[in-house]
Amino acid sequence: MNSSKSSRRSFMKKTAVATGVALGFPHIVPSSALGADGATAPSNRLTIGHIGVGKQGRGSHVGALRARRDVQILAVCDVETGRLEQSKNMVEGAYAKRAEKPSYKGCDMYGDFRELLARDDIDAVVIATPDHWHGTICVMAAKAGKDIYCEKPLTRTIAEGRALVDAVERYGRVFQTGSQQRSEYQGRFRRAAELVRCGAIGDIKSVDIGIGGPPNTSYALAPEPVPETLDWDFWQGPAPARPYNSELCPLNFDGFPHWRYYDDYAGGSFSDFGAHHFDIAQWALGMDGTGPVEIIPPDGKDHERLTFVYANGMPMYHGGAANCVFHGTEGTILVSRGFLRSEPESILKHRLGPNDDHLDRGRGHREDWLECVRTRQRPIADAEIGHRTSTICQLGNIAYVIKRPLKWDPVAEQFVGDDEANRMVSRPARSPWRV
Amino acid sequence: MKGWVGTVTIALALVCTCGVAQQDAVDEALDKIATYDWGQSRENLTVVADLVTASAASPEQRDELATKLAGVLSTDATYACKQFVCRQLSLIAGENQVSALAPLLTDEKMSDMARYALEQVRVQAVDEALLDALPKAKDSAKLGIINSMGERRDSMPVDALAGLIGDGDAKVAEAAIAALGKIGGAKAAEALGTAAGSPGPLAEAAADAYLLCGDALQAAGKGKAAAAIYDAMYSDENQPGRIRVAALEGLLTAEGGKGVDLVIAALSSGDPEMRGVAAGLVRELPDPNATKAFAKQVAKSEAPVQVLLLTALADRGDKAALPAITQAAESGEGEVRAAALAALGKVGDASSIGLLARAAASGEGDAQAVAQRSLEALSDPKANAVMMDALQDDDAKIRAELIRALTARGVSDAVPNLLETAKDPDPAVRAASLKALGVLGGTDDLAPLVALLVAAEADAERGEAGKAIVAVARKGHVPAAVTAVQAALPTATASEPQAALLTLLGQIGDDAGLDNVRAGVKSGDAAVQDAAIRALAAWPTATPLDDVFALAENAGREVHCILALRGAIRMLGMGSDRTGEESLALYQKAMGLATRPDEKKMALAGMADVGVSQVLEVVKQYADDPELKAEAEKALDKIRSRSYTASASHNGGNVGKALDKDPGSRWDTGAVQKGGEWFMVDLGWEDMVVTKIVLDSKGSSGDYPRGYKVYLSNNKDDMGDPVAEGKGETPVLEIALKPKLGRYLKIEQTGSSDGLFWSIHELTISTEER
Repeated sequence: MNSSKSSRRSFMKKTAVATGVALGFPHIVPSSALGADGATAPSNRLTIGHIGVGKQGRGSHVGALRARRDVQILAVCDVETGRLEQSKNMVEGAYAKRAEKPSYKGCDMYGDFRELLARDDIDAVVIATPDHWHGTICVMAAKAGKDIYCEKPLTRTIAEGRALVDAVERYGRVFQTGSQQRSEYQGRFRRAAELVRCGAIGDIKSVDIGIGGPPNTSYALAPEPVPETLDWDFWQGPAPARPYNSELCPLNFDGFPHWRYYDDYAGGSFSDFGAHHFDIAQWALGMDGTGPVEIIPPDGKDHERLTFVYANGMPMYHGGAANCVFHGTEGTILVSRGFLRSEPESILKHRLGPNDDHLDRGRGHREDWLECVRTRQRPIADAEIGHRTSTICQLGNIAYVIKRPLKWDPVAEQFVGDDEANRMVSRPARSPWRV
Repeated sequence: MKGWVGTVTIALALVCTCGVAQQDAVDEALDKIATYDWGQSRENLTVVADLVTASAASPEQRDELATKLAGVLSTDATYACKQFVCRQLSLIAGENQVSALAPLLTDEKMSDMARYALEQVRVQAVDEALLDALPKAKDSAKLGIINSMGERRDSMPVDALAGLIGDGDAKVAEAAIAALGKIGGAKAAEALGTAAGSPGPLAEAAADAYLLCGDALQAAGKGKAAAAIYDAMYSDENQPGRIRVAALEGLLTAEGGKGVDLVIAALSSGDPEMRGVAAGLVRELPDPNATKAFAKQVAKSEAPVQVLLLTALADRGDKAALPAITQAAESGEGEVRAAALAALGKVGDASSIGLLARAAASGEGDAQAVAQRSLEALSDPKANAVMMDALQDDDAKIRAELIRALTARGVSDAVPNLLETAKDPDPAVRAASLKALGVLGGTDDLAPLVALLVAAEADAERGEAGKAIVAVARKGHVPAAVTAVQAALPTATASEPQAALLTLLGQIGDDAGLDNVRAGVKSGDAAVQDAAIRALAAWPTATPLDDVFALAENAGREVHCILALRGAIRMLGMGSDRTGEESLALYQKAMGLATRPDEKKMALAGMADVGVSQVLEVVKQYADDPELKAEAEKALDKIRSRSYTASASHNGGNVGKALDKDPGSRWDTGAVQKGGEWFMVDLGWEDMVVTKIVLDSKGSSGDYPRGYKVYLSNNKDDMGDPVAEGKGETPVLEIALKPKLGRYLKIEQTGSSDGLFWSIHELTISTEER
């Protein structure tokens, strides 16, 4: 019923993904793309459209990209006009200031992402909508020939994720998942991954991932009047219809809204931070192209914590003393956004040799994407990587719901011998949407 | 987090109860949900959801339950209820429930949820129902049915869908095209191929779907048929560039990765998108002859394509590209040269070292940085030996770059060479060598390093040597480092090296060197004395606490008194055998010696960690001093909060996580909220006033307490009346408390949830002392 993993391009070597060997290239921007003063000539700037300009889309992505001289933001898109206008003003204000002019016009607003994708003059899109929209928009963006930066968790369902990867591969798009822990936080996570990979703590015995719980399936959210500035039907998109409630899409709110805790739109804290921390585990373990083969929910007896088991028998537990804890035969590495520690401490002094995996690309996460757009390399968290991490989040959430141990085939991307669980691999989309 | 163990047990009991009683229980549960609407309690829904989960144990009972659920859809139950029912049916519906769901497919309001229930049910009756509903459905329902047909990938509706490609409604036609692409097969491909080749607004959508058919054929091992589709789209110059790009990739797949000529042609294309994708293919094409063919293209291409090619050849990692890359690194300019130098890091070998070292020594921006990284990355086993030999190079800049590379590569075999280059005539080479020795050196290298320090002529070089010695010492060689320094002290007759050695002992910080430093304090040489006092004040252990207190009182220069006092306060914060009272007395002594607010603030901050009750009174004395007020209040907060200890009705081992200032960790009940669960904090002091508490469960946002009572009392066995009570409705609860004095703060959970734990990610307590 669901699309099995496509064999398209499966013959390819996928060097970057498979080995993770140093891809770190300094910026190599063709001089033909530079203006005489070293600033990028307008005709050679990467043109960008932002889809979803809420807390993350506007506050993080628009805010950062508008300041770059090698990028030109041509359009913003959102289903809420207040955010839309605020983003447009941010972009145009920055460009006016740079040009030392009283005003600047040239950032268009869209309520429907399909209109933005139809513009041939936009090279790439940054997608920061709620999670339940990622699959549909990314697939359409790939078909429209756009390179893509999409926020994590990559998709709401496993099947959407596979469709997304297939579309990105088919159209040869450069895709970055917003799992920025691979590139940022002073390199702590990258260093931890390098140490695990080079055997600094010996053989890995287990991994602990300290994150929150699964999403809320209880919608005790009373109907509220739909704000005039919001297209609520469009906000819901492929998710089942329900009345508006500001918990899901608050206006004039500068935090991360709580749709992320509700099952129709996202995978709860488990996915929200799992998309970061499971991602680091996959990276460190060299499992980027695959995933666990068994998921055991807590049963109050033998299994206190949700447990993933990889094909080599290594368990990864939900819950721990840090975001990611790697237990090896010769030591332990604990890494969170604020610290990197090891037991014994000397492990952190371990030096990598030329033949160890050097994972540092020497640039930030967005910068890595922009550089790869130019060189057509695979970004550090490409679509397959983002999909595999998102899959772990969804496997865990499915196990929490279904409440029995599950076997997972990471090649076929199906549960083994469990029809009920397999029904959760995808979700029917509300008409007219599809992936 | 769901607390499922208990609820499932109850549900299982319901399901397993045979006969009329069980049916009555199910009927009762379904009756109760019929009037459910948005925003109401979901308690009754949870009972049904648990029945669904528990029914996995018995296929027969699951079918009976599914039939009863499907029956709700024909009643006048609310839409919210029917939506819930369809969600449950999506998990357990089978062939017997299709007939109840099928009529809803054409119901504009229920169609989406009927599909939600049916789309994953793997029986032919669903395909028949969808096909039957297709001509009857309109608008949104029709589009949804077509989409579901695509998702199910069953060939039954292909003829009907092919007939819709020419539908007057473009949305219907586009949906049919997409569905046909997903279903695939010869018939679908034929229809799509025709549509893709016909001009019109849907030609691109048809081409996309047509390629999807090719992918399915390829996956099924029908490479020839797939190649025909890809070739048709790639050869059709009327197709948009992105379709041809996708076709090219497909074509290469179908031909087993052969297709170097196709890729080269694409690289030469005027279409930047085609060129970019071709560069990606250069990386991944498995044809063993491809590397040489692509490498030949480097010299023939324009600069932007050269950059793409060189970068891609680097990722290929095939040595066959080395001559072309080397040539580009030698003769290329600007970004082409930089790309080639970067590629050498991956593909190069020991023969590339000279070229890379010259580029690294050139000081030319990008090229320098790229070459440095490539020198570090070379994987040829001979590379290290070649670099060590090249340390004899006439060019000092090249020598320095090679030393830097050997350091980054961790080549400890290079230490003897580095001890020689540390005496190089060029200061930059000497500095690089000392830095390298710090990284690569071991215990045997300490004495030669100390000798280098003593012989150094400039402060900067002594500093570099000192850093190297400390770095080696910290690799587990502290006693050897102290011994080496002590051995050198008598030989260092001049003031500067003697002072540098005492500074070094301070940096090593081992008590074995303390007497040498103490002796230095008494030196008649001002520079030596200054170095000794600074070393003592910065000593990393508390051993010289008495020395620094004495200096704080009696040192001849004010700066030395201040440094010593700061050292004393810092040392007071270290672990010791002193009693709390003794530590407090020493802090008070430091306060007495301090003449500036900075040192008084340091002492106040330190006092906050002294674990005796008198500390509160001592610190309070300074809360009225305008210069110290902020620091004193901060210390008071810390003193009070430090004394918190917690306990709970559930999961007592995790109570600390509610008070650890880390919203990423949490305490939870590990069980569904039923009422009666509690969390208690001992504030550590009697008669505390708590004005407000904040319960933060954002990290598990459904896990807020559904109801609460808060108590405060000096007697934990008699908490008295609540000082606050209410209902919880948000992930962050801010609760103001009625005035009362007490030591024990207890929060009782009084509500019940639909299967959720009670979690506290962070508990913030706002206190005032009486």
